[in-house]
Amino acid sequence: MLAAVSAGLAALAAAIRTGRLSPVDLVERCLERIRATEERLHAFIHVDAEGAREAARRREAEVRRGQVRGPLHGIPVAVKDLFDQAGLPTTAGAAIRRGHRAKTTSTAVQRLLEAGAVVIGKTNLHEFAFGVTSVNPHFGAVANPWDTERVAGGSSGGSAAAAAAGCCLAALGTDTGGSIRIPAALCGVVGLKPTFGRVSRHGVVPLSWSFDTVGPLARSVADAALLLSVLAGPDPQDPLTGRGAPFPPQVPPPPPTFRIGRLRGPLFDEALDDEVGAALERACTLLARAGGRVREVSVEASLAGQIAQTTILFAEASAYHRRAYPGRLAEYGPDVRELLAAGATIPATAYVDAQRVQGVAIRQTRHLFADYDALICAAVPVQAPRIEEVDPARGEGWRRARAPLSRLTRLFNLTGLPAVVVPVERARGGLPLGVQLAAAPGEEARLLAIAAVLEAVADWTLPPLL
Amino acid sequence: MEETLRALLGAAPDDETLRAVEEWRSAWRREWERVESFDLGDEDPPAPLWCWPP
Repeated sequence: MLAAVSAGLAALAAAIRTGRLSPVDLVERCLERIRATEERLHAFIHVDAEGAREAARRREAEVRRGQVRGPLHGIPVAVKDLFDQAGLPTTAGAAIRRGHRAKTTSTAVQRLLEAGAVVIGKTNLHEFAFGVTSVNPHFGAVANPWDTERVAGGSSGGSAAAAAAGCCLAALGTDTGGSIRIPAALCGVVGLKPTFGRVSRHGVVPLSWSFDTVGPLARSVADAALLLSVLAGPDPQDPLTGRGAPFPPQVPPPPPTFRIGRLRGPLFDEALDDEVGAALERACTLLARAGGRVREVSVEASLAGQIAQTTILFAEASAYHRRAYPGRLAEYGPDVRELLAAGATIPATAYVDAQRVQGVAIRQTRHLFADYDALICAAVPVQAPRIEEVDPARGEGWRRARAPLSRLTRLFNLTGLPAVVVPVERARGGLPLGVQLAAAPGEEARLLAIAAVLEAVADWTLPPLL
Repeated sequence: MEETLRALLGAAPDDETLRAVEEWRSAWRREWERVESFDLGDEDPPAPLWCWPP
């Protein structure tokens, strides 16, 4: 398995197309990996072993007949348990949805299936995606594959842990305040939040309509690009989609002399873990050596934007849950229950003012892209905390951990910009450290081109885990 | 506030929930000062992302 997952998705898919690699073997090796790790990781809520085996057999038979569905033919992927797939449960990580069975398939999963992917299971997450640790009171705390006493991050923690541990070759996540990028940074994988509206959200349990974004977690920038090329595009069932140009399946070369704006100011500079700060410095130096021109920039609205993003997200999440599950908040985990209750107290005037600040933040970041191809900052200002320190069942530490973990990701949800986390090195204690790049709306190709440069010069590789 | 919480919880909020929500609101109000003091002009309308990118 480890040899297989060290190759990129494009190479593996090519090997499957030519009959040199069996999708059945690939799925079996992922299932073996899940069996070997799941007791410690809790990365999955539902492993669809028989469904995956059957799908892999069909993909193999199709190859023999010369039929190839698409660029992911025979590739095992995992899906955050927030996406509907017909016939499978969509728990959203919540006890009150344990009995749910999806009747239809979300557009994002449907696109993976049409491209030939094999869904191996539904991954664990923070309950209703409303949290950043994936310490789930109903389905277990997702552990970090690099140190199983620490969190994987969230809310797409199971997707990040599964991809990092080789239980799947890539995974699907959602990002509302950092829920793809935070676990990607903590687990040492690439996490891409595309431009808001780039990928359909049809069939995905919502958290906050203004920010919810679907994207991939992958083992390399090239793999993330391939997944985005499958996922992106218009969907009549999600009216926000369809504005961007199609995304190419391969990462293009970066502009000859690419320009990087390094975000500075209290939001980006204060309370950074020393090793996180050093990793960011190194990334900037490496990008400069690779032909980039790195200059310092700032966004005046970044601090006000933090509370504006929180205000919109909390108000929308409370509004959704008030109608979707009226009177059932007592059945939620204590942290999500408390946050949803708090969100219900936000005044309407504050919600409007927050959207006005959002407009200013969008304008200010857009100005920067007249002079820069991408922005860079740390991804998560701290290293992965211990599960016991942030478990709501064991005390109040989760309150202190919540804001720092998402501090550097939320600006790009507020502004809708595409942003990617690239792992660059390991801390002294062994945990991965990642940095975050963002680009202008719709400019994922440019973003991933620069991310691929950083990935190459940082020389990050995913070693065997566990 | 209690009525809002009752609709969500399906029962009257207990003291612990009320305390936690009040603490969150106090912290939120402190942070909200950043928006209160932010220079928003008449030409800064709400910009929900439904129209993004323009």
